[in-house]
Amino acid sequence: MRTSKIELALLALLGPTVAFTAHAEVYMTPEQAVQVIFPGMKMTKTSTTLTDDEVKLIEKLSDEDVRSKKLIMWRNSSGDVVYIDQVLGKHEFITIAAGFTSDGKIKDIEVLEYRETYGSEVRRPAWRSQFVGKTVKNALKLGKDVKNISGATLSSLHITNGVRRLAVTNEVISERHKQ
Amino acid sequence: MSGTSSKIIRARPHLGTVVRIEVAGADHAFLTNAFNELARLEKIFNFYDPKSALSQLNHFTLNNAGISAILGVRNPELNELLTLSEEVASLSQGYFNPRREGRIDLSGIAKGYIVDKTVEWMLSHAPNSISGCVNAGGDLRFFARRPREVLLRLGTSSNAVSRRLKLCHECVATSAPYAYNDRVYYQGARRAHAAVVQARSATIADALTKVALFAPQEIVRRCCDKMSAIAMLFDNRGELVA
Repeated sequence: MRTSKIELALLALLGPTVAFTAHAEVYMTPEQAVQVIFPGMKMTKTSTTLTDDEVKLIEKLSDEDVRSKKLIMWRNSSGDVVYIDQVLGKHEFITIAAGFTSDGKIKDIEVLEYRETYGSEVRRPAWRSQFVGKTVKNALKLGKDVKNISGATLSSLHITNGVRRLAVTNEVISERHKQ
Repeated sequence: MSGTSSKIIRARPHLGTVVRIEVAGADHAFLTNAFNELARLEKIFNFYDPKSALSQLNHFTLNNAGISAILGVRNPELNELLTLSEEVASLSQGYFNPRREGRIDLSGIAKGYIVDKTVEWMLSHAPNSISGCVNAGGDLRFFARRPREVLLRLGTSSNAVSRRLKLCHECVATSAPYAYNDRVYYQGARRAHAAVVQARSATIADALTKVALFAPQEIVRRCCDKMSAIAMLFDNRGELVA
């Protein structure tokens, strides 16, 4: 009797099964993200196109495919920069803003849009080290620099990979000005 | 930038997932500070960061550094969570276990704790009354106002179902054994596909998902009674099994 009462009580907590629909959420615009990452700074929107050689170099150093040669970024006169980029996971599509200070260190990462095609949201005992303060020289690779106990969620894994590619991209673009 | 009257939602990669904070009554600068507080807490409990307070504690413990050295690294949050972990471990007769290979690993409870502490920080630092939700990839805590129900997403990516869950408490945690690469965990929990626990704190909800997945029903019931929690187990079709 006790068991059946408990089961009935638990069933009362559940509503009907609903068809799974893709989850999509827009958190902020790129302009808002730029202001959040570098508050009060005057940042100017700009874009650049990577050369074939730069793409090859970025892919080699980051171990990540460069899907778009065109980069959208916001810069200020001090050399701080925010890249707006898209990360494609197996089941999700994520737009991120990644801010770098003039010395190449990651200032902050902000998720602008998160869209799942389908999937389940489960918690995993995974840890992500802080991105903040990392540079391209820190490798920034899951399992090496950004540690996880037993596998990150897909989304955080893909964000980590995307940020690593952007850290390399930022260094490659910085080299342009030195030449 | 939005003002303080409307609801704002932000998401950042933390805790191995995307942490989403929704708040009404605060601005972006406040939310940035809330994420910074969350990041500060994340650093304390990072099992793999040798600089974390938890790693220092493990280092001193493994090297028999003496009680004064061990107590020296215990910051208030680490101390509090260790005490809570021991309570759950004792009540669950070890089915919740914060120890791994001689070291303390709080990853089965710390995510919920960090959600709780971030909410506490927000409530105590808000210039006016706020309401909202912190969601760390399935560990949720509503504050000031809670909806009547939330959507549970269960199943693997190729077989996902959603169910509406009526809320009795502010906190909900979901845990699924297939998310663990640890074979022992996975095999031990095969009878259920996912556990969902509601509780008054995200810390307890988080820890009890592990108890619900791995412990016999009698122990799960005792833990839930003592901690005013509700535990539910689902199969891979999203059907309630216990």
